[in-house]
Amino acid sequence: MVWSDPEIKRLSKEFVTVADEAYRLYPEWEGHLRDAAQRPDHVFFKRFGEQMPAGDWNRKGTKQGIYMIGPDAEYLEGRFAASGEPADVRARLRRALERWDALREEKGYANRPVPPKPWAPPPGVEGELVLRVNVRDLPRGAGDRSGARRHEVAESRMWLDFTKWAWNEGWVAIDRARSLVPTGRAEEPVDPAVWRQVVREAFVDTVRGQAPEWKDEEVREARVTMRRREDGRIEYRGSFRAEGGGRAFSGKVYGQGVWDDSKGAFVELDIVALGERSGKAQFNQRENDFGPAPMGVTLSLSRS
Amino acid sequence: MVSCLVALLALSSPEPDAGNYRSWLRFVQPDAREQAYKEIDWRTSLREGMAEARALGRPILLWTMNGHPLGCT
Repeated sequence: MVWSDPEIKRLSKEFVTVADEAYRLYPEWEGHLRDAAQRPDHVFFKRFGEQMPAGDWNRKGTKQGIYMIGPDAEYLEGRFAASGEPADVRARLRRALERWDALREEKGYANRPVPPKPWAPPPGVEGELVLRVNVRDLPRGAGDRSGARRHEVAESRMWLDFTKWAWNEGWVAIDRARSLVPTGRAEEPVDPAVWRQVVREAFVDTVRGQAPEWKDEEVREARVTMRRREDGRIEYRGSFRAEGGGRAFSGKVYGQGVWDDSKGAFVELDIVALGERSGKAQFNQRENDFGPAPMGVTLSLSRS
Repeated sequence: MVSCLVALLALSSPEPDAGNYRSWLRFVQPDAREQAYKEIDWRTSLREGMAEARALGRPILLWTMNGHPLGCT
């Protein structure tokens, strides 16, 4: 991915760096587009797009891409679907900064240093306990490379290459962190409502692309118990099954956590879910991979 | 590590336990190279970026995907 390129990382420091959802910024369906028409971020992005050269802006379709934009939506550079070629992005960043030098002089932009941004949960992810969710395919037997890292896989420059190394990351927020802390020494169930929420929101096949959360009635099983070990660590064991809408995912769960009473918070928490998935969602690129096939989901306190 | 995990998969459906869960964590979670994008300080909404860009008089670098790039969907 382009963001590991050292020169791109260096050049990015000249910008206010923003990541956002393309469909929300510029919906393709007429109804959603009408709803977005007066939203300031859509208006801003649309104004920018109207200045883009025809070949670099996907006028009738998705606006996924990398774009360099002035403070008043001025065109600097950019291209739709531009996240695979570091050399191209480097060149566009350099051209953008050349245009920026002229623009800021013309308009008197202050060009103050961009301050670092401390990590915070994404908008809408709110709760006492915010866990990072990762999902990846697992190997399907001897010789199978499912779940490999991108640098371990030969590329053929075809778009579907990404399915060879795909993985995804999201977040799940639990309102009350203590709902994952045993009250005594005996094994006890985690609040079923909490665990159902986790299964519904986090145990979703997004390895290759977007997929909706499970509906509540599609979570057929969600059971996890917790107990305090002799060493004070908390151990989680359980199982889950979700099925509906032409897809399914079921398996087993194991994890460990460390709760610090003095802080009233977890200082360590890692949970692994391994199981078998099948079927597809509309946008998760499983048309040629219905399964069943193994998939792993992890939940972690650590952000990286 | 990977060969041990693959051998485990070949025997039966994988099941995490105290002995292997850290290996599975490492397998599923992205490594440092895969997480290089986190070394950039991403604002998570264009609205936030617009306000900051105007205040600083700086341009915006926008990375946008169907499905928020940072998993913020």
